[in-house]
Amino acid sequence: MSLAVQTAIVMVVLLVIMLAMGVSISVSVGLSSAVAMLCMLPADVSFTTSAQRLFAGANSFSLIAIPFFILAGNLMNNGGIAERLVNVAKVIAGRMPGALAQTNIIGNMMFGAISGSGAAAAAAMGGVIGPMEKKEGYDDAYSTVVNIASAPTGMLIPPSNLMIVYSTVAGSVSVAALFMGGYLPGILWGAAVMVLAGITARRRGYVIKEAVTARMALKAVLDAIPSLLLIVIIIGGILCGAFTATEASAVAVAYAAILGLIYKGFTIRDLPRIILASAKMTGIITLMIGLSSIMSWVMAFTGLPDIIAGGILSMTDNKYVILMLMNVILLVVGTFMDPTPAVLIFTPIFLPICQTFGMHPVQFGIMVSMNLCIGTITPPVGSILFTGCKVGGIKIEKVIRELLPYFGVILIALLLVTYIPSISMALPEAAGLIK
Amino acid sequence: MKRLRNAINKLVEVFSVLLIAVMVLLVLWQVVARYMLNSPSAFSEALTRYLFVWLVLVTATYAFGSREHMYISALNDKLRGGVKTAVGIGIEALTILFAACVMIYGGSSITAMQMVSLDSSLHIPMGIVYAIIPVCGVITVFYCMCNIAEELGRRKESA
Amino acid sequence: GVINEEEEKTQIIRVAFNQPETHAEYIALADFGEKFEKATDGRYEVQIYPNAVLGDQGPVTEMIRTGALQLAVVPVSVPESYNEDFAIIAAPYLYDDLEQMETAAREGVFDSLFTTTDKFNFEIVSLYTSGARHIYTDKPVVTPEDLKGYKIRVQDSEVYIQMMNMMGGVGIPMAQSEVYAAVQQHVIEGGENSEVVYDNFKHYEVSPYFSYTNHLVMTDVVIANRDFLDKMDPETRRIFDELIKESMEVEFAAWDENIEHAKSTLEKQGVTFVESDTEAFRDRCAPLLESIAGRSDMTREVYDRIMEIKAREENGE
Ligand code: NA
Ligand code: NA
Repeated sequence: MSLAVQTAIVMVVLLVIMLAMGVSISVSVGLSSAVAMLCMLPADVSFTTSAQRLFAGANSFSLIAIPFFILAGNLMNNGGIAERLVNVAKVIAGRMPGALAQTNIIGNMMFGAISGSGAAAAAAMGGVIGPMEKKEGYDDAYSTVVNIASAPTGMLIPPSNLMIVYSTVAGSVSVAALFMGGYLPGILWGAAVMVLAGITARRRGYVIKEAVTARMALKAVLDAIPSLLLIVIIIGGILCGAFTATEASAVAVAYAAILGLIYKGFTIRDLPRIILASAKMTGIITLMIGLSSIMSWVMAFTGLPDIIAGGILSMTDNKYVILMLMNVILLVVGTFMDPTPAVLIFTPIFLPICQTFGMHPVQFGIMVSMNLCIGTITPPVGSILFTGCKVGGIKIEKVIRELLPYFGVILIALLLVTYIPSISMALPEAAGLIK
Repeated sequence: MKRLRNAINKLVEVFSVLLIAVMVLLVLWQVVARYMLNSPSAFSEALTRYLFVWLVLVTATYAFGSREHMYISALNDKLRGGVKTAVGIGIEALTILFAACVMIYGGSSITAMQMVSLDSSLHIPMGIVYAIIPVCGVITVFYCMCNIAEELGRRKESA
Repeated sequence: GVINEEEEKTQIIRVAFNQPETHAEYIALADFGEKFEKATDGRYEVQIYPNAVLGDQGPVTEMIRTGALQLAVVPVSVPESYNEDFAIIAAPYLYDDLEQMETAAREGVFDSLFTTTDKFNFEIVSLYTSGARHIYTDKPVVTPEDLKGYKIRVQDSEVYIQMMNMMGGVGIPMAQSEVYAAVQQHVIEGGENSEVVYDNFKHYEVSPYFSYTNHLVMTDVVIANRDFLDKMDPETRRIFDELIKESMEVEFAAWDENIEHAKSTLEKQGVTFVESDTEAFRDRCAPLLESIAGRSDMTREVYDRIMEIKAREENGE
């Protein structure tokens, strides 16, 4: 047995045992990776490298948007801003089944599209709309799952950092084309979740009974104008390039704090309490991201991805079978690895294989991104799954059962993107980005 | 032990609230510096990133103490009595093992190594930034010991 | 039996690299690996990890120091964080062009500076280049006035921010991967890099004017873990040193080919190439270069020797 396979087996077995015991996911991931490293490196080197990966994994300016958006979300909740916004959303969604959940999905597609972070979208939208849904009598698991299932769409809808990373590894792929190509698959994913959420809502009777009068609608909109301005500032600010997503998140914190104080939703003395609650969530979510970068490093170091690619080509040369195999592998990889390192590792291995049977690198990039985005909502390691559960205040196991049908529709969307090139290619071709 | 734990809790709470507050102000300052003063601030981005790493580690440590980290409880929930206590102690022991090997040992070795390299925009040794890892490792070990003591205490009570 | 013993004897040299396999530096490393494996009868096996899968260049250096990895290619800004004198190698307008830097490297101008990192447990064993850098934006940049009010992305370092400000623009540090979207969203007006990076990252799609300002020549160094080198027997070490030095020439040649290839793609994409008034930019950056050259005796010596090379070139030698 090769050292690479041995190392991988040690890592996976330890991970499964610790997770089953109920050890925190962070420690399970970090410790199993650090111990697996011992198969290849001396102890002092392994532990030093692990500590260094932990640091490097958390040392990222774009991740800072996560605690800030969580904090802004908390401030909006406590300050009565969220309530005003959701009143408007209710007016818009009207009597659609599961109107609040539908609002959440559209919100995730817009918010995630702009922040580029699915986890930040899940935190902000879940934090704002979740409590409203509870008031309306939605089941916790339902609202959490809808939030989780729709949060990754923003990573496909541009601008997308993942696509930029892909284009640099892939070599000759236009970023503009990738951006355009991401729209339809992202919207397809969101629409699939909307349909399923609507059907479930109708069955469970999550329908607003009273009719919305014009007077109520007008009052809701007027009440919410300063709150709506917050969204305009954030979204408009990023779109016209006034600031980055992280800077926008800080602006959101400041604006939400000031507005909340004016609305008397909280006082200055409440601020430390609200900040502390957000801070705690930061540690829980981001430590996991830091520690999973130890695991990604071990995977890359073993060279296992190359062995896998060799295995695929030795099995078959049928295009459809190879694509299916790649989907399966990427889905499995995505269960425990973050999208960015996985793109870095697998693009150079898989892309040349796909180009032998004429797949366009743009479509391939979108297929890879979509696979790995699904990974962000699967256990054992899924940043959006964890963020969503944490924000929804609900256990992972309870969510998984409810999430299964959503995996079903998302996988159907993935198959469509894999086997129908025009879903990815139509827009970039129409825009003249691909000749 | 309990009083020390409460004191550390308080310290960690105040520290993390301050960290977030300073980070928000720094990022806002970055925006202002770019637009009002037309001078980009390389220093504020680096400083915010490092404060963020500190925040992550400090708050993660706090969550080890209060056992708020996410875990999969499906199997664990089915356990009862002595087995449950044993597994509970095992979990804390594994967390101690992680903190000792990766955070304290690995963390102090990388900290020592990095005392000789300077951050390009802050001009401070990177080791100072890394030093938060072993510090948090020590606090994590302390928290886990407290948790084990509690677990044993509960076992005695129920027996 | 015999096979197992053979296997145990094979030592893997793990090389961290942050660019794709098409990069000139990868070609040189792979070529070195092949030759070294052959020269040592398979006692060593060189395994290159491209695309920064093992981490960014700063962290990778730490892995070299611990011995988790044996070799890596990093920009001179990395040894610079251990010894500030390294700034001279990549100082703005130190060289007129790429060839001058290559001559300096061949003549061993940087060798005494290189030995200063030995005490941090890594040795600099060779030098590669990732080319001269030029400015690209939405209009031709001929004189410093053309850059007025233009925010240009630079690498995250005070020297480069200062350099861009002296050149007439505003230097904005930003991650390479964010430049495309930032230009598209008008956060910045352009960037500065070699033709190869300009092509790879598709920056010509948003910044179609490429102006030859020649403000920097980027040098990367090949670093190796010291314990790994010290454990080699003298003959192997001699072969290693010889081959890794030779790989420098392989890299320089491969880089020229990369540039030619990038240029032909860029021409097809309709990029406008502009000759800039480099003298005007050089004059403006002179105080910055002087302050770096004056940092220590070592930096002064490097500076003086480059000036000698320039003088020789001007005299047509
Ligand atoms: Na996006
Ligand atoms: Na996952």
